[in-house]
Amino acid sequence: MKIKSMVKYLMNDFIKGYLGFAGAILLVIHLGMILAVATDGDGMLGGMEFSTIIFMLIIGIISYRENISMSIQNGVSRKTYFISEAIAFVLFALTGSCVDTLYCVLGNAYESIIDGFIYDSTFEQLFMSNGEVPGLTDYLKEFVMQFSFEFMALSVGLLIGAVVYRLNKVMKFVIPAAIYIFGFIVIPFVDYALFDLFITRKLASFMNFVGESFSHMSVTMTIGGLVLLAVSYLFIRRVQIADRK
Amino acid sequence: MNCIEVRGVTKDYKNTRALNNINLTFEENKIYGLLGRNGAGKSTLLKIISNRIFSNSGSVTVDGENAMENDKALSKIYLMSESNLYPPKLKIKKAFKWTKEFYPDFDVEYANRLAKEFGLNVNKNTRSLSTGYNSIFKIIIALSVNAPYVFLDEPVLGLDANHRDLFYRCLIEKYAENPFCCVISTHLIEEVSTVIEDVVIIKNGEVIRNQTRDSLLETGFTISGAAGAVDEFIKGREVIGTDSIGGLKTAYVLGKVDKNEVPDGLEVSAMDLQKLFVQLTNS
Repeated sequence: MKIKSMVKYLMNDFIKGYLGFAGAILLVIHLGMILAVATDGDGMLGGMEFSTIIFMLIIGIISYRENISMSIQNGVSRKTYFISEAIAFVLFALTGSCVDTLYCVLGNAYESIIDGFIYDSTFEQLFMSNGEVPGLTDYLKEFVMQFSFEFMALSVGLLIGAVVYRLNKVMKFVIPAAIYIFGFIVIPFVDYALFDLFITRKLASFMNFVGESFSHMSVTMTIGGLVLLAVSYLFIRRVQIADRK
Repeated sequence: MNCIEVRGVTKDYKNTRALNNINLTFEENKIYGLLGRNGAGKSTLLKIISNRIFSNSGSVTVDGENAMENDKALSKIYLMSESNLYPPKLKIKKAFKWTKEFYPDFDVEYANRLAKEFGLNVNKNTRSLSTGYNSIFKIIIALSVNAPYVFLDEPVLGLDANHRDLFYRCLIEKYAENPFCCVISTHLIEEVSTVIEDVVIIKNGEVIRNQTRDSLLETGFTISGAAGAVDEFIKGREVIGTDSIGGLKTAYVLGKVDKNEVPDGLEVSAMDLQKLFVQLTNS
């Protein structure tokens, strides 16, 4: 019962923000098209779905503080909040990827009727050859891939939000700095000095594997999203609710 | 019997013990006053009961069920805290709507009526409210929520005298109409003393008094007069505090006194709750 109420609340909160964002993207597509027509020249629009991924990441980060507080205020346990958030994330990602796929269909429709206007989605750029017209299967793949990316972005956002919520003012600076130093200075140096770039090579081959095909990418992103979601629960399950004046 | 039972609850913040082995029972359909000085541990106790924070040890049960991370038990509790946990951009009318979603017995009509009485604009968002109206907003939800256990932490914070009076009136009316367990944590003891039935006093994280208001008031008296006569009279009695001005002295004494044994020149009077509280929690 509380899960249903919580999901309803989260969806309502999400939709309010998403409508504005989706409207803005639609406007950009039309502006690009108008510009192509007006200038009578080459106009290319591509990778618009990436902005949705960024939007989902931000939603995941900033909504955590408000939503966990609201749920606890209304007698919802942390576990129920987490389950509701996971369900809501699936629904957010489905909504986002559905709209992105529709935009892709729209962009390609404009491309076919307006000379000089080219619309390429991320999927087309990554997995289709130049000039190839996407079919129904491609749109379905686009939808699945976009879903996996958006779900992953939401999970990353929730994890960041949940971790940051638990940190005090000092640690909010120390932890990101430590991650940066370890990730971009210490580990690469150790890898170079001691392991003859073994870690870098393994990382590169993993990235190649992920980028090899649509299925590799989608499955990796979905699994990654699920893992990060599970990790974020470790930070949520015993969180103490901070006072807010 | 339905009740909230707090058993052996201890809470530490780093090196400070905020609550030390608290044992309490809040019975249904009673109004409690939870009293204590600043930092005594009142808010910490309420936050533990409502699952906002966790205790280091001990348990809280609601009608026999453990309250920790238990949706069923938590749905019977509503905590109006000093801190506002509602999203800052949430409009008040939307807050009513969502509270109804989580607490199905929430009376939206009554909440709107109270908002009108208190002069609260329901189209405003929670961020734009002044301290007083922030309290009013939370009071309205607490009074309309119809949960069996309602905890009010500093409910009249920032309220003017008229609104405080209206709040106490609404609380009594609501309680008379539909009794519920209400725990009021406040510093304004005199105001709340006529409303509460039972008193819990917390000092330095420990419960030092837990009894009915009337029985608590019967335990103390004030004796005043010439310092020497007062000193003589209070010998062997449990004195919890004294005040002296010039040659006059007032002593606050626990226990009963037979007015016939009071010497001439000394005046005996009942201690009010605030005076008793001040003396019990001094030092």
